[in-house]
Amino acid sequence: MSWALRSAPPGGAVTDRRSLTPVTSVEGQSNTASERLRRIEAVTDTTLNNLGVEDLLDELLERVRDILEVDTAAVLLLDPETGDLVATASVGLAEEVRQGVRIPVGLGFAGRVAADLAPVVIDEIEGSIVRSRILEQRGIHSLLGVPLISEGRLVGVLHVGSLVPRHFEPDEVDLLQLVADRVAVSVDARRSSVDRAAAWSLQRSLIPARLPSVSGMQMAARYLPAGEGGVGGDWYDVFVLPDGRIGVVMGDVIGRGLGAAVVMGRVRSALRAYALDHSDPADVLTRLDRKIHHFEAGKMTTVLYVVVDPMLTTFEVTSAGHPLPIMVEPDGEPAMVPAVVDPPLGVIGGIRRRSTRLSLPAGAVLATYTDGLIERRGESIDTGIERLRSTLRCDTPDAVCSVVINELVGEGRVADDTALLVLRRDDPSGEPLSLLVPADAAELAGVRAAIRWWLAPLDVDEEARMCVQLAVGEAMANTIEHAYGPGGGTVEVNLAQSGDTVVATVRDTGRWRGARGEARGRGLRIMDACAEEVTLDRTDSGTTVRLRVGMTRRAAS
Amino acid sequence: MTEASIDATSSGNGHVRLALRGEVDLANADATRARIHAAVPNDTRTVDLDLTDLDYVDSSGLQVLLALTGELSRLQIDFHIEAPPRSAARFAIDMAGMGTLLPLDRPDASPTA
Repeated sequence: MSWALRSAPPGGAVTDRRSLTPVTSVEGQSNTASERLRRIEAVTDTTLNNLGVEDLLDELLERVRDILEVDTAAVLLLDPETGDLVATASVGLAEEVRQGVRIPVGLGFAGRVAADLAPVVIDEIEGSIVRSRILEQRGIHSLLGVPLISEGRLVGVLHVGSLVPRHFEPDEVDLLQLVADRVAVSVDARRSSVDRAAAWSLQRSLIPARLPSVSGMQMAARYLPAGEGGVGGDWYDVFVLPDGRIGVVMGDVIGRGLGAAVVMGRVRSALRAYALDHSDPADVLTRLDRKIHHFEAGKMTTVLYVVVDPMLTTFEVTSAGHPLPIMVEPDGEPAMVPAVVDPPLGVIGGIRRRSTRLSLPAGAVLATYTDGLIERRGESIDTGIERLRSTLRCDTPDAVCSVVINELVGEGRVADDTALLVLRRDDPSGEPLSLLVPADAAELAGVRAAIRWWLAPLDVDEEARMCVQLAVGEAMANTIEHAYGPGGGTVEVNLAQSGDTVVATVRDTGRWRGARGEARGRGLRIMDACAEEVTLDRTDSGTTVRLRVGMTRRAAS
Repeated sequence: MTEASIDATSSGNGHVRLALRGEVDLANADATRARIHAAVPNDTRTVDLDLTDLDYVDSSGLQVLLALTGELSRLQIDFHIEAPPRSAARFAIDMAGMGTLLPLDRPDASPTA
């Protein structure tokens, strides 16, 4: 909440509109006034620069009380979240501060000063004009209050009181307003630097310091906080779910500063919690929407939530008012993914959200971002998206991030928070597969899944795929049954492409005993039938089975 | 861990049809064998084992089929295995050279015959 300066400038002519004592401005200041002004200078001297807000106010109020010869002096600061004035420092009114008195803007004496943004003088308190019971009990007769205004915004209220009836003269009003102006600027500067620092460190703590390491997926990210106006509510998140799926979040809480950063933190945690319990990304955002709607009313948030399956071959995408990712396939043109965009979170209740499942080809790059990257003053968002699209290329995520930031942001500071997160699915073709697993039958299914994943992008026919799985499976089963004693051991499986064949090696470090049972004999026969070549290298330090399987088996036979 | 499922349907006149799906390897061969046994009551006259939708079977699984063939034969229960050409089960059976050892439906035993 911010209050625009809308009435007389501080120290200028002020007419009390509620028929209290009229106040007029004095052009020339009396000697007493200038003497007092010199003493005011002392109020904001450099020795106070290192004090925190509370200490600074205490010191200033002491001096104000002496200079104006009043009995009480108090500062109430505006709480921007609630719009209340909160008693923050006082002399002669310690209870008010200790009890954390809160006064809504517009109500009571201080509230009136805040609402009018102008000095208010009360010669003799009567009726319900004073809201603070403490002021009443203290026996105050006369009050003078002035607004604290910094850069056109209300920061709080400074008031002084007298236990004996007194009329505050216009030059005294001016004097107090002069003090108030200086107090306002220094309080505002201190407070906003504290807020900025808090928002900054909060946001820093909520953005992953290090992205998770996922085999088969590379990731890189950049986050550039806004240059002016404080950090916003942008965040990104990457997490691995218990079933091996990878959650990728890009979000933006509308607003700036500490308030936006705090809400962002809550939304981020809630999303993670829902992600654990609900597999459809649209369900996760539906629940998050309800949560924001209820607990963070009015905090509009855009979120993109992408879930990549454990095999890394597909992803589901759901968007709550957030720009969709741009994908670049190897040898392809960058294109925004064809998914639906539902309304932002926290706006309308009861929306049925949708997700879209898309394939993630090997080697493809997926770029997610916040609008700070694509929005420029005076141009359409489509222009910004087109600029990003034409900048993307199929490269390592880190290289993609560097190029995009360099081209779209350059040397200048960003006007809005800017986040960019780039994923790239590894292209396993050409890269060998290497697995080291316990020599245990329970591992067989997982190894087959890895082999299927590795074979997927290769030009291998269906029978040859089956042959690789069968031959490696039988070699592994041999190891599991014969290589180790009850203590167990490990088996290493490597697959590599060599010309138009797949070469698989299955290696253990045990000492074989003789094969038992008929099944093993059949296993050897299967290996022979599936592979063009089977070699067995048995030494004291272990056994290596090497299998060469043709990739176009059907054509060959 | 390797997973397989068995759907058993009985037509009431001593005929049991078993559909085996998923994967069978060294990890679950014994369990699969026990589950097939449990699905075949003593008054069974014929068993059809459908492997059409089995995604993977290794030599341990084939050993179960071979043992079952012997067991049911001793009990004088007619036993047929459906493993159509191009199915994963048929491929493994062929690779193991077991086509003649198992009661496979011959390709010419199709409904058109």
